[in-house]
Amino acid sequence: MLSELTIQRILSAALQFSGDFAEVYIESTKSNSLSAINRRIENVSSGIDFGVGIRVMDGVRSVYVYANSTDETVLIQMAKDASASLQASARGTILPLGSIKRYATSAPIILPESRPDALKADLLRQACDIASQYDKRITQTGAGYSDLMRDIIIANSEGLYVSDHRVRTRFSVEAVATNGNEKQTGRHSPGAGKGLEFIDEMDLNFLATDAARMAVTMIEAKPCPSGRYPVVIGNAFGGVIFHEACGHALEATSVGIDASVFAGKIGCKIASDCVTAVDDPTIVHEWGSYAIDDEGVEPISNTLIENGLLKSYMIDRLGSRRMKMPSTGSGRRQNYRYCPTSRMSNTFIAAGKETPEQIISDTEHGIYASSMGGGSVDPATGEFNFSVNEAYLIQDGKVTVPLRGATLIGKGNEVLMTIDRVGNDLKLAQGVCGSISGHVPASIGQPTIRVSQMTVGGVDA
Amino acid sequence: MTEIDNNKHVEFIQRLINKSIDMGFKESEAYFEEDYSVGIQVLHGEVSSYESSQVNGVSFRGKIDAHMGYAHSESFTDDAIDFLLEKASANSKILEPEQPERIAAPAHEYPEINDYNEVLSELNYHDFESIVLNIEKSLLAFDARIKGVDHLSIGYGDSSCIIMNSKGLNCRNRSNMVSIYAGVRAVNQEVTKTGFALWVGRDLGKFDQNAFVAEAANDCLSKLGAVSVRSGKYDVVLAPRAATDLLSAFVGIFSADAIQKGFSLLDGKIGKRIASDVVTIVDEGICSQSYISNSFDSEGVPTQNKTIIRNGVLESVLHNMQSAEKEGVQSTGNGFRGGYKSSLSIWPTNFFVRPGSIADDSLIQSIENGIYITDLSGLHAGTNAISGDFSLLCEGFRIESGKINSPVDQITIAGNFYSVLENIAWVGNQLHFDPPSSSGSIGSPSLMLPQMPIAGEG
Repeated sequence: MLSELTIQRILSAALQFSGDFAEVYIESTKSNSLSAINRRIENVSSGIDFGVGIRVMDGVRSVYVYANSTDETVLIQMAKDASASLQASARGTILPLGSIKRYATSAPIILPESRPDALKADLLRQACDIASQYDKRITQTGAGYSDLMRDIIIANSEGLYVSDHRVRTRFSVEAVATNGNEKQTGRHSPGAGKGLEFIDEMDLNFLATDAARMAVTMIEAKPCPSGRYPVVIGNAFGGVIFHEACGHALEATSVGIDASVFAGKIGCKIASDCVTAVDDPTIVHEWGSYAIDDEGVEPISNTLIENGLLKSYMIDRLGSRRMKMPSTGSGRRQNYRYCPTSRMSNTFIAAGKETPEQIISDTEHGIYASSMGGGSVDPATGEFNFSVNEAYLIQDGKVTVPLRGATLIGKGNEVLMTIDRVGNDLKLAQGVCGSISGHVPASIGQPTIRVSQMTVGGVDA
Repeated sequence: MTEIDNNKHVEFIQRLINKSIDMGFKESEAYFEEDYSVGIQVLHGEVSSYESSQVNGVSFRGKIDAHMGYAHSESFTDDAIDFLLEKASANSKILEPEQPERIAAPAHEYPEINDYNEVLSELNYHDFESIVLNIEKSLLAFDARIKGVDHLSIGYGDSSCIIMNSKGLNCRNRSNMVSIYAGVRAVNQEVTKTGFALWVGRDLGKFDQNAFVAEAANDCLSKLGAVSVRSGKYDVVLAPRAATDLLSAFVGIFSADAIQKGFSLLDGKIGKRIASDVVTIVDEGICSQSYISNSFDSEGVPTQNKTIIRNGVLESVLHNMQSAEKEGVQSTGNGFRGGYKSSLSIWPTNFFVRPGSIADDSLIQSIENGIYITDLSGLHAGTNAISGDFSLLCEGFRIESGKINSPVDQITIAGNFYSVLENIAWVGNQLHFDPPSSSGSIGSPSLMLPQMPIAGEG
C-alpha cells in the first residue's frame, strides 16, 4: 500500500498549518459477487477498490479529504490543503510511528478466492431449486453470494500505527409466492466474518425452504388489523426494534450534539427492569465484529443498558472529544470515502429466563411479529417505524392466523419502558446499517420479547 | 475549484479496449467516472467538518464467448488492465442471462444539454462557509423554540463520465451541482420535533436564503403539538414531497426487466387502464423542471422524452438494450448503472406525475374530514416492491371542513400502490422533484387518495 515514510510525510503535511490531531486511513478491498434469478446466473462482478482518507482535527472541528491515488505528491498536497483549511492557531506534535501492530479480525480457513466461481454459481442454483420445489405457488426465486477481503492501515499523529485484515462472506436466498395478483416474499441473508467455511457450515436446505415457507405463509395471510395491541416480537431480526428505536439514539453522533432523547441520562432508568442491552464488536467471527475500529481503537464489549439503567454510549474519537468520555472503539466507516463516526457493531438485548412459549401463552389477545423487516428512526425525537415480514394473530394465548402488511411504530424511549417480558432464546441476525459514515455490516439480535402496548399499522382499519 | 484532466484516463481506456480486442473479446466497453466533491458542515457557529475528495474508477464489460463479463477497478495501472480483462473473461463464463447483452453503436445524434456551470466551479471554500454560517444564525434567531440546527451542510459535486466502446462509441458528460441541507430541532413543553429544508441547484444566485430558513423552521415548528388520530379510513392528501417518496419506492415496477422476470404486476398491461384518468406520468431525459438532464444513458443510447401513463392508460415502460431486444423493440435510453461498481440496470431519467391545473387549496376545500400527509418514513422497509403493499409511518395535519388544521403524528398509512394509482381522485398543480440519485430523478404534485386506512389510537 503506502510506505511508512510516505505515511509519516502525509501526517506531517496534515499538521503543517494547523490542527491538533492527524490520521491516515489506507484501504485496499477486493470484492466478488454473484447473483441468480430463477436459477440463472444474471450478475457476476469483481472489483478492486483502493483509497486513502486523511483527517485533521482541531478540538471538535475536523477536515476529511480522500482520494484513490497512490501518488505521494497528490496525497501530501491534499493533507496540506486540509491543514490549511482548518484555520486553527494550535499545531499538534507528531509522535514517531514505531513498528506496525498487525491485527486480524478474520483469519479465514478457506479464502473466498480459493474456490472457483463456478462452484459458487452451483450453490446459488441449488438454493433456487430447493426454494422453488417447496410449493407450486413459488413463482420466482433468487439467490446471491458476496465476499469482501479488506486490508486497512491506520496511522495517526499520536504514534498509532496498526493494520487489520477483514474477510466477510454473505449468502442470500429469496422466494416469491404468487396467488392471482398477490405476491409475497420470504428471504434469508446470513453472513459472517469468515471465509468460505461459512458457506460450508450454513444450512442451505433450511434457509431456502424457510424463505419459501415464509412467502407461501404470507400469501395466505389476512390483512393485519390496525390499532394498539400487546406485541410479541420474535428473536434474531426482531432486534431491529432495539437497533432502530434505541441503538441509534445511543450513538455519540447524536448524543454528542445533544440531539438524542438519551443525552445526559447515564445512570438513569430508561428501560424496564428486564432489559439489558449490549453492543459487542468482540464476538469472534460475527458479522459486525472487528479487532480494531476504523480509527485504530481496540473495541470493548459495551453494556449499554443494565437492568433498565443506562450505562454507556457508543463513542468514537470525535464523540469522545465532544462528550469528554473515552472512545468505546465504535468509530466505523463504510470505506475510505467516509469520515468515521460512532456506529453499532453487534447490538442485542441480552437473554432473560422465560421460554417464548410461556410469553405467548400469557398473551390473551395480541400480535406475534415472528420475523421483522427493516425500519428507521429519528434519533432526536425517538420516533421509529419498522415493517413486519411475518406476523400472526395471538388469540387466547395461541398463535393463530398469519397477518400481512403490518408496521410497528412508536417512540424509542417509550417502548423501552413497556417491554414487559424477555425470553431465553437470544439469537443474532446479520444486516447492513446505514448512517452518516455509510453502510456498515451490523448484527442485531434479541430473545423473544413482549411490548405491553404498541401501535400496529395495518391495512384493515 | 478544480481542474479535472481526463486525458490520461482516455488514454488508459483506449489501451484497455485495444488490449481486450487482442485478447479475443468480440465486444468491449469501458465506463469511466470521476467525481470531485466538497462538503462543509456547520455546528454551533463554526465549521465542524470539511470534506473534499477526488475519486475515479472504471468498469470494463466485454463479450469473449456468448456472454458479457464485468469487472471494475479504482486503480489505473497496467496491472489493473490485466485484472479487468482476466476477471471479465472469467466472469463471462459463469453468466447465463436469458437474453445476451450487447454494446451500443454510436447514435447519429444526441440531445444537447448543459448541466455544467463554470461560475459554480470557481467558487471557493469561503463562499460556501459564509452561506451556511448565515443560515445557522438566521435559523436560531427565527423562533425561541428552535433549539438546534443539528445537521447543516453545503455540498458541491462535479461529476464526469466517459463511455467508450469497441464499436467507436465515445460519449462524454460533465455536470456540477450544489446542495444545501438544514435539519432543525425544536422543543416545546418537553416535546421534540425535527424538520428540514433542502435546496439543490446550479445557480446560487437563485438561492433565496430567507425562504429556505422559513421552510426549514416551519417544517419543524408546525409539527409541535402533534397528536395521533383515531384509527379509521380518511381522505388523504399526500403533499408533493410525500407523493414523490411513494412514487420513488415503486418506480421499479415500470422497468421492463422487472416485468419480464415477474417482479412487477404490469405484465401485459400496455394499452390497458392501470390508473385513474387524472393520472399522466412521463419520463423525460431532457427536463427543464427538474435538476438534471441526461443526453445518453450508461450504454451510450440517447435518452428520450416519453409518456408512461396517459390519462390512466399504460403507454410504455422503461427499457435498456437487453430488455428491449428480448421484446423486439428499441431501448428507451433507460439503461443506467449506479456507478462503475454496478452492473447495468434500468432506471428512469426524470420520472414524474404531470401536475394538474387547479390549485391545491381549492381542491382541499371539498374534503370534510381528512389528513394532509407531509412526510412518509421507513420507505426502504415498509414497502413491498413486488406486491405493491405499503404500511408507513407518517406525519402531517388534520384536514377539517376543507382547511388544513392541527398537526398529526404517530400514525401509519397502509395500502397498495397499484390500487392507489387506480384511486387517485385528483392531482395538485405544484410539481416537486427530489434531488437526482443514481436511480433517477422522481417528481410529483400532491395526490388525493380517498378513504385510506390510517392507524393511530384505539
